[in-house]
Formats: sequence, structure tokens, C-alpha cells
Amino acid sequence: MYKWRGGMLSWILHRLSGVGLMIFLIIHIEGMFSIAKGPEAFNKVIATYNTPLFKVLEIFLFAAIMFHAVNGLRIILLDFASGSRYPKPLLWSTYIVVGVVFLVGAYFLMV
Amino acid sequence: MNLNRTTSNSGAIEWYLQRITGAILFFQVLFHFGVYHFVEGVGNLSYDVAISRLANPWWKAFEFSFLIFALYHGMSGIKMIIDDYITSRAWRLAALTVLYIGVFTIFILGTTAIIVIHKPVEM
Repeated sequence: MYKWRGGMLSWILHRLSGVGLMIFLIIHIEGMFSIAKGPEAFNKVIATYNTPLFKVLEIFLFAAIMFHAVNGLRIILLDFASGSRYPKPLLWSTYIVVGVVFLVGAYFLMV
Repeated sequence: MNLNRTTSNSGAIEWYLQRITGAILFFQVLFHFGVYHFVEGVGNLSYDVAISRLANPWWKAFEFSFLIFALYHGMSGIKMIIDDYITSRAWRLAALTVLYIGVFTIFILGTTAIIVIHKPVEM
């Protein structure tokens, strides 16, 4: 199943980012559930989003999403499209796309 | 190594569903993250904004389907990791039980937030 060469780092990063995103999803949904408790509870949760710690976590979240999304697309192209004919260009273009989108996006998240 | 640790299910359906939900999530997560983090900025979200957004059936349907696809995809991914690393049958069963109960609980919380709660807001 996971036999393509050179993709080992991507395979590890895909699992790590996936576990991280699942942990985030649990925390995120638990936080958004506060909308059921009323305006005060919900706005209190939103207020924590303006703290510096959250801003840093937001950058990490963005990185994990971008890597997992684009690398996941690469896996789909390898499995279903003709991506398996060009595994190497597909692999390095994944890193380039993720890197460029992350840097541009992170800039806009910080300003 | 115990080669007969899985059930009669080969996992082929899960393999396909992981890719199908992944393809859907690719677009859903970019839209969701894009609107909340780039267009609005999450610090600008408020109870009134969220309630009026969820009053729109399209937004409600989007967030609910996003919840289902994301939770399924994440649950399935964690199950793969459990199957890969936990070889003891008893421990694997225990880990999967915790996973399924946890995901079900989160699903109920998320559904409550998106579907059930829609109090009218004075604007």
C-alpha cells in the first residue's frame, strides 16, 4: 500500500498532521458547542482567539491543513489518476505548493 | 505476528471512502478556513454573526456535512493507526471503543451546535 519510494517523509508527516488535525477538531467542536450555552459563553471562547498563543497555534493549524490537504491530493492522484507515472515531480511539487501557499497565507494571518 | 487480527472485512471500502471523503474535505476545509481565518479573521467572530450565519440553510448544510466528513475521515485515519500499531486484540478493541465513543460524543456536540440551536437574534 505505501510502497512508493521517496514518499516516506510525506507518509510520516501525513500521519502526524492527521493526528494533530483530529485533536484540533475535537477541541474546536467542543469550543463551538458553547454556542448552545448562549452569547456570553460563545463570545468568551472567541475572545481566546485574540490571544498571542492562539495566533501562533493558528499558523501551525494552517500549516497542518495545507500539508495534509495537498499531500492527500497527491495520494489520490497517485492512486486514481496517472500520478503514479510521475511520482517524483508530484512529490516535490507537493512541497513547493505547500511551502508557497503556507508562506503567503501565514503572512496574511499575521498582519 | 498475528496475520488474522482483522475481521473478514478487507478494508477496501474504508480505503475508498478515505479517498472520497478526503477529496471532498480538500474543498470544504479550504472554504471553511478561508472564510473564517482569511476573509473575516476568527477573532472577529461573535455569537450574533454565527447565529445569523447558521440561520442560512446553505451554511447549515455546509457546516453539518463538513462535520460529518471530517469526523468520519479523522476517525477512519485514527483506526488505521490503531490497526497498524496495536497488535494485541484486547488493547485494539479497547482503543477502538474509546475512539468510537469519543467521536460519537463529539458528533453529538457538533450537531447540537450546528443544527439544534438556532435562537432568533435581535439585530
